[in-house]
Formats: sequence, C-alpha cells, structure tokens
Amino acid sequence: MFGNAVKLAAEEVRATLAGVAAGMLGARAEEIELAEGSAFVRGDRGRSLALAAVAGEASARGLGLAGSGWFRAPRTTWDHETGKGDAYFTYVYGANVAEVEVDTLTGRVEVTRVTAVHDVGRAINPAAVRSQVYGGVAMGAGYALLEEYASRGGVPLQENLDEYLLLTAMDMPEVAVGLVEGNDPAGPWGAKSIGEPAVEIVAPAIANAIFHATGRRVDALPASLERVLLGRALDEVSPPAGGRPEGAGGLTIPLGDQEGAT
Amino acid sequence: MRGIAYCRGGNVEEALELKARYGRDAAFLAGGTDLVPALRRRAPGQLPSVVCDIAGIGALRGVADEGGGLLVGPLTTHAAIAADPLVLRRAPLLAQAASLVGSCQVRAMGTIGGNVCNASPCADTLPALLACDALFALRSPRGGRTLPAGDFLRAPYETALAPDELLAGIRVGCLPPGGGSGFVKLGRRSACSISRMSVAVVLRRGEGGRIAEARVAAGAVAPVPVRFVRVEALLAGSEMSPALRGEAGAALAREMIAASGVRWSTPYKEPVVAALLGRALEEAWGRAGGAP
Repeated sequence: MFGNAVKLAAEEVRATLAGVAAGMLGARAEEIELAEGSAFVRGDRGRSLALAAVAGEASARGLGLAGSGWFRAPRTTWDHETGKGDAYFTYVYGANVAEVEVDTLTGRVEVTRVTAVHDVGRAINPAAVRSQVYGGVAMGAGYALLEEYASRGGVPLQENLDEYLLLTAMDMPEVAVGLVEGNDPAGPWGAKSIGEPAVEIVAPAIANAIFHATGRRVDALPASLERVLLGRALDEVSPPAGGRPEGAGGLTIPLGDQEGAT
Repeated sequence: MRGIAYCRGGNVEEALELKARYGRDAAFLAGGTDLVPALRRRAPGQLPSVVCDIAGIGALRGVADEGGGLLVGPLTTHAAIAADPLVLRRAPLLAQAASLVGSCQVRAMGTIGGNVCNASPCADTLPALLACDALFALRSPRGGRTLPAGDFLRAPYETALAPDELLAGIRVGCLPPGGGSGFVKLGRRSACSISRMSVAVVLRRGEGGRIAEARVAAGAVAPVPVRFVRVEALLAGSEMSPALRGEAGAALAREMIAASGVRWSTPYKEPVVAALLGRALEEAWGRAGGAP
C-alpha cells in the first residue's frame, strides 16, 4: 500500500521534470517521456536530455523535486460473530520447500536448500524481489532453528546478538527463488507485497523437513539441538507451559475480560 | 568502560613490572576478544581498573620447534596457529581446535594465551592442549615455573596464575609416531558459535591393531576442560571397534555426570557426549592409520 503512495508522490515529481524538459526541448509536457536516465520527446529519441541536466535546470529555477502522495487502503469488512467478510483486499500465495540434514546423534539441523516460490503480483524490480526472498529465508531459517528469547522476572536474558543467535553466512542454505507474476489491481503497477510472505512460511517448511527426516514432529520453535534430539526443550529458565517463571513472585496478571477468562 | 586506565608493556619485563605494580587490579590485554566484551558487560566492582596491553610483544608471538615439542607463544592468534605448517604437521589437533574458534574475525584477533587464561569451561583450544600434554610456562618478577595444563585450570574462569604472573609460553607435545588425533566441536550454528560440547582425542596405534595409548579431553562437560583418565585407561590396550567406541562414550558420559552432577542439561549431554567421543575416536584412529 505504501507503494501506491510512493507512486502518487513520484508522479508529482515526474510532472515537474516533464514540464522543465518540455521547455528545454521545445515540446509540450504531454509529449515528454522519462526513461533510462533521460528525458525525450515521444517518437523522437534524437530530442533527448540527460535526466541529470533536467534536474539541474529544475534546481536552477528553484523548482523542488519533491512530491507527496497518500493512499487509503480499500475498505475491508470482517464480522467476528460469523467469521465472514472481505477481510483483505488482496491475498498473497507462496510455497516453500526446505531440504535439511539432521544429525540424529546430536539433533543438529542443517538446512541445505530452500526453494521459495511466491506470487508477487508484478515484479517491478525482479532482482530486488529476489533479494527480499533471500533475506526472508535467512530470517525464517533463524526463526526455525536458533532465535530464542527468554526472560526471567520480566528481565530479558538475551541482551545482544552474541546470545540471541541468528544464522551466519556459514549457515545459509542455497536458496532458489521462483517469482510467479500477475497483475494485482490493488497494488502499484500490479505489485503485491513480499517482505512478510517471504519470512513466514520458511519455518513451517523446515519443521516439516525435520519431521520427514526423523519421523518425529518438532512442535515448538526454535528446533534447537535439544528439541530435535529429545523432543522437548531443556531450558533452565523457561517455565513449563502455563507456569510462571521463577522469581516472578506471587504476581498474577488479571486476564481482563478476554473470552474464556473466568 | 569508563574509568579504566590503559598502559602498554613493550617487552616481557615491562609487562611483568606493570602487573606487579597493579596486581589484581590489572588485566593483560592480548587480542581483546574476551576482555573487551567483559569490560563492557561486567559490573563496575568486578572490573579491572587497569588494562595492560601486551599485544605488541613480539617475543610472545609465533611457533618454534623445540625438538620434543612445539613452543607456542601465547600471543599467537588462532588464525596463525590454524595455518602454521609446524602445528599442522606436529600437533594437528591444536590447529584443528584453533580453526574452530569463534569466527574468522575472532580467530584473526584472539590469541591462544587469551583463550587459555580466560579459562572458559567451553574454550575450544583447552581440550586440545590437554590432550597434547601441554605445559604452561609462567613468569613473574619472582622467577618462572611450569604447570601442566590440568593443574593450570582451577575453576571456571579461574587459573593458577598469581596476580604478578604472565603466561609466557605454551609447550605442546607432538603427535607420537603412529599417532592420530581428532577434534569434534558441537555448536548451535556453523560460525560464531560457543561450544555446546567439544571432545579432543589423541590415539597411538600399537601392534596388532590395538590402541597403545589414548588421551581424551573434553570441554563444556565439567567445570573446566579436563582429561578423562578412566576413559583413557579403558581404551588403552583395547582393539578399536564400534563396540569399544560405545563403551568409551558411555564411560565418558558417566565421568561427566560424576564431575558435574545431574544438571538441567544432562538428559541432552549424556547421550551426545558419548556420540561426540565416538566420532573423535573414529577420526583419530583413521588418521593414525588404523582400520575402522
């Protein structure tokens, strides 16, 4: 949605540049096209200026090359009682295949390859979209295997990245990206989002791959050495499910009027 | 890190003089990969008030052949040890352990002396040094003394170093003829990883496919890295086999529990340390030229 606002803002800048270029080239603003770093008269590539020259002229004339745009997302509806409605104005689809090697004597999991295919609408900059997916796989695999946040009495136990472990370059799997393009009516030039979708389905794919390799489900993340080998976490600080952390004293937090609270 | 004084020892004598002057208030700075994060993290009362930089003392850096063994300068970096032709040929176990410390950046800065003196229970070079029968040469204005690696380590992060002493050299025993070594490190990820456990093994092949001599040390299984002499005794004189590796693994797990008690991590570490020893034995035996 942000992309739509950016597009509208950029169109303002484009109009300013086209007006300046038209004056410099002796044409009408509607005839000016901006492409590949230059401004030119449509149908006559010979009448062309470097975009930098046009920007310099705009600056000399005191014209700001800034624009603003705002975009309101299409209305959605959601009925909590019936669970029906148009909850989202667009949907993204994706599929990931993770390949892992599990050391069955230590519980160590190595992700060897991830194939990530995403429905991205129009890939305006395919290299940037693929980069988003590579980053998403790194983040999702860290979420699957390493990232763990614990606290004791409300005090975080991981204070820095030496304790809150992320994947290193040495742990990154080979990543094969597939982009399935379409034209989304709600996105800028038909683009959908890819940041979040690229992250979200990595860990489930890895967890399924571990199951496929070992025959045993890991039902909590991260799939640490202990969880994979023993089927349970061995944490000296985490309370058992539903319990209270040590040191929390007798403090109880009222659940308020949430559903099911008694 | 505010309020910490900095001084530099240009040679061993200067460094000893500075340490004698400031005693327990001073900490030697070598690669800084343990000390600097500790200075950032520790409570003010636990901080050294003086940092004595010894990183520039060339006499404490490098590897020399001493005939019966190698003399490793404490300021030799992990990267230098991992790539040193003498170490790779005569004490490959130490090169292997050094190559697995931290990350590329940590290995380029961190020194073996720092790793030894920090005395972390999970230090990667310590099990290797123990299995190489390393001796630590200590110096102070009062003179010098030599301690076996096992006597040097007192408790987690605590060594036998007196407040005025400096680790001046590490004598590393060479791999005997017919010998092979193996090192297995288990971490949660492939780099920048603190050892969950590590096992170092030196084996010497005797006549008739028997193990003539075994040295076994492990990290992160006891308060300090230690040799497991009962496991060594079980291996010595026996024929290598999967069953023997299994027995040795079970014995190591028993010894670990005897040393550390049953802890929250024991259900994991008990089977895994046995498996790691099995792998280290296999690696060492293969390198000693033994049949599997």
